[in-house]
Amino acid sequence: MSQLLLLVEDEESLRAMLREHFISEGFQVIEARDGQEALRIWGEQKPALIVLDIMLPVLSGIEVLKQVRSRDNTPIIMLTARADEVDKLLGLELGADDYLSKPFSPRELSARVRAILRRSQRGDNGMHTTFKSLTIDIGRFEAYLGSNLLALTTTEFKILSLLAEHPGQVFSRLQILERSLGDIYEGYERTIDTHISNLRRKMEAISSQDVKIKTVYGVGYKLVEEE
Amino acid sequence: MGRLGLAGRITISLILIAVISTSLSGIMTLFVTKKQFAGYVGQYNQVFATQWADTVNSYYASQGSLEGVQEIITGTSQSGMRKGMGYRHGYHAKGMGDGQRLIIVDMNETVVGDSDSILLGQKVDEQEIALTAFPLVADENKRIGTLYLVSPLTAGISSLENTFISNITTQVIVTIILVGLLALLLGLLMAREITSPLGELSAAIHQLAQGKLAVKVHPHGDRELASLGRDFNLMAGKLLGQEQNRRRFMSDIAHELRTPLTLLRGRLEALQSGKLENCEEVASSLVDEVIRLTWLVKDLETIGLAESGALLLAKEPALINELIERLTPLRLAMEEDNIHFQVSVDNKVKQVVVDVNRLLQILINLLSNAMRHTEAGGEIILHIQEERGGIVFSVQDSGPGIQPEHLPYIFDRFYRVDESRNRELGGKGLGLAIARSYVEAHGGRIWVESPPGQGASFYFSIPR
Repeated sequence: MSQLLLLVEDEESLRAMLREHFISEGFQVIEARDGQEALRIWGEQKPALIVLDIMLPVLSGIEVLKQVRSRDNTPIIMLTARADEVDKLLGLELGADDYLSKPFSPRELSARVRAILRRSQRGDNGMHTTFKSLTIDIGRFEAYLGSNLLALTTTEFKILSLLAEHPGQVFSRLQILERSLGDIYEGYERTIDTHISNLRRKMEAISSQDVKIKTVYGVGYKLVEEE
Repeated sequence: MGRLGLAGRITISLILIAVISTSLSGIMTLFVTKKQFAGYVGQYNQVFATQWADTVNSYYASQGSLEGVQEIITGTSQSGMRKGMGYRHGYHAKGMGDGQRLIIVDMNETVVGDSDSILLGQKVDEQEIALTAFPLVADENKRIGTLYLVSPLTAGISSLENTFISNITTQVIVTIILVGLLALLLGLLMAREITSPLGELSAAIHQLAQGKLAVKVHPHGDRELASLGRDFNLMAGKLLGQEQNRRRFMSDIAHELRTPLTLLRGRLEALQSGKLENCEEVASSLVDEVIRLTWLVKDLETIGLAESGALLLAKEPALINELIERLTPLRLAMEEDNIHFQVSVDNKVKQVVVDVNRLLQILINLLSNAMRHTEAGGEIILHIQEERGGIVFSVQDSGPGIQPEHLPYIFDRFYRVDESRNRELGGKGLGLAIARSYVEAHGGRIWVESPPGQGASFYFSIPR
């Protein structure tokens, strides 16, 4: 079942890029160029989630957020271009479900979209990411290989989640670092190796494993099926 | 008065004060002069009349009546009076003359003596002659008549007095005019003294408003004005500094963006032309470069916010243990580099109220900086201890230390001790600047000590 996203962004090229990205990730997308159009489409089509830029012509994203919130709880992810917009957004407590500062990773955006949709559709098995016998319960912060619970640290869990969301895709150490530890650890990409080796050790301790983390030399790591 | 300038106001005030005070002292002089004259005349007449009253009284005492007193007054009874009043004679002759006139009236108000011999034998109406009267009293309490004195002094002095007073008045008026003119001159000079630095300051402010930030005034004039001039120079200097800082910041940013953008462009163009095959390695390196650029933009924005004082902190109590736990990536990196990392925490310190992510960033930046300057086998110590007023963190390394000439600039953004170091080795030159801005946003202080021959120690305090 593909879900309908309303993408509100006035920057043409950015909107096109995000649309393609969301479609490739299996979403349906409708677009709006300004706040007024956004409200109209939201009223007509009832999207499952709104990705809303703050700086919009006609009606600002904040205003759209207020009006939507005054009527229902459609999940909203705000896109901000300035640090003080984030402060304002948090200060107003308008009820945005999440926010991302530009420049952001579209992959990160769709991961958050999925997480929010999962949360809002509790009871669905969408709470889990699975690959082969690996199951990741995002809500509970738990990872299983088959029926075996992996005893992971927070960092290890985040790394495994990232890899499991896109099996077969290589992630650089910097990408893994950004997702698992945040942007304050700039320059500590190499410490990812230690986390990966710990993660591997914990996975290998389970005899029935059918997935493994593969090192791609000079690039990074990916999650693959054990041959 | 509203439109009157400072110069006009000062001059006018000065003139008013001068004229008023000169007039007042002139009026006072006139008043005092008149009073003095009146007093002098009165006193003289009193003395004169008293002497004559004595003479007449003793005449009465010797003769038993005032009859024949006329001769005494006119000085004709020289034989009769010489014996009894000889001692008076000289005084008598000296006292009379000069148009002085004595009139003696008995108890019947009949003139019995007149030095001008005009009113003899006539009744006198006291109102009519209106002269200075002195009672004549003989033998204790027995009133024998009245002595009237017509003093030439009264008239004479009166005209003298008038001349004197009119002289004084003229002089006072002349003085007032002169003093007024002097006040005008002085006022204009003084006003110039005040308005010239003000005018200079105003011109300088206009220049400043037009963006000529290098403008300076020459502080002179009165103490307050000179100090105002110095304050202006201080302000202009700060503005210039900030403007230079801003320009440098912009060019630094451009410089920092150039390298990653060139790299990105090169790779992308190679991909476009088919010279470079799209493989995981290429894509991944492009993504990495973009992530670094993203982080750089975030850092620059943070510094910009911090420098304009707009950095918002999300303070909350944080456990020191959890904080140290979050330094694990650094610990791992140090292990790998064979650097001994030691953490020593004062037992008293259990938690600290901070913006946790910012504090963590400060620590990471300081520790990363220490790591960059510490060789394999070296040591880095993180101390956390309670001191008066707050908690002091220190990061001490066993590296070569910092040359004294670098110390004042060490926290400046984009300042690198070794320019030749590349980005990976030397960092972006933002770490310490960010650390400083975060510490200052918390109301704390950051400083560095680097004694020659020892490693560097960075300290920062977080107030309670």
